[in-house]
Amino acid sequence: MTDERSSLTRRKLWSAALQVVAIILGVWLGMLTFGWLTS
Amino acid sequence: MTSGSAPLIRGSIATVLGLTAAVLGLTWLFLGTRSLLVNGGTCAVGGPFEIANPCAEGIPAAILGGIGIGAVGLIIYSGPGLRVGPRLTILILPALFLSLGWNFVYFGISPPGGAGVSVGLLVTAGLFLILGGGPLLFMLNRKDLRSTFWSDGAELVPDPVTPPGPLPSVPQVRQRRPTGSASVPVPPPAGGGPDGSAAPDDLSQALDRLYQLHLRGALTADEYATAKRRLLEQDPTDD
Repeated sequence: MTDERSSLTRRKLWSAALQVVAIILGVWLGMLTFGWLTS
Repeated sequence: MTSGSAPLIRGSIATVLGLTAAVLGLTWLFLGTRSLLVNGGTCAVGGPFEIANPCAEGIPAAILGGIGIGAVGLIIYSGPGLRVGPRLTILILPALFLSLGWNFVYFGISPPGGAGVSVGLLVTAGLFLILGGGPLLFMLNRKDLRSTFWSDGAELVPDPVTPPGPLPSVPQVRQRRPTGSASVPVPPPAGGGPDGSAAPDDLSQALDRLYQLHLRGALTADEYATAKRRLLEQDPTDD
């Protein structure tokens, strides 16, 4: 049971880290491509 | 690569791609409506008439494309994306309304052209802020916050079920040699489980044997009552 919980916590942290990266990437790509679209 | 890592890799890719696309779409919508508001809030393109306020280059594509890309990204994120950790799908509408509402607030307070406060834009801003912020107020509880930002992904981790402990074994009834008769061994209930628990059919047979022993005098009334009570406590049909 302890191994399952620690594995679950690791997966949650991995998911959270991925999503932080995805949000930063999305904002950056969005601003970059918007500039291309409207130039 | 273990069999358990393939779903994790697929889920991770879907999460990154989906959320990146959703945020990209939201960014295009925010910047597109901002550019639109700089030009007065309306624009037109195409058609046979002379357009009073033509759209700036790329604005229609940014606004419409932002909606489409954002929707596709959200579907990818919510579907095959990771189920544990932050589950931000429910926040997309608050994010949309609050970001657009902020544009209306900004240009409502200082509209382009310096014409003073724009009541129309501020009313729209108020509506958007209510639509975006209202649902967030209902989420200010531990359960919803946890399921949004630290989900357990219930379908991945089943609820722990504590197996029932082993049933107590059938007690060996003390044999007492009745007067003038041979001692009668007390057999355990036939067909019982490995832990000595009694099946329902065997329970009645065991009770009957106990009663016969009591009738023959092999068990005193107290011993009979005690053995009977212990046997009934081991009945697997009882809840």
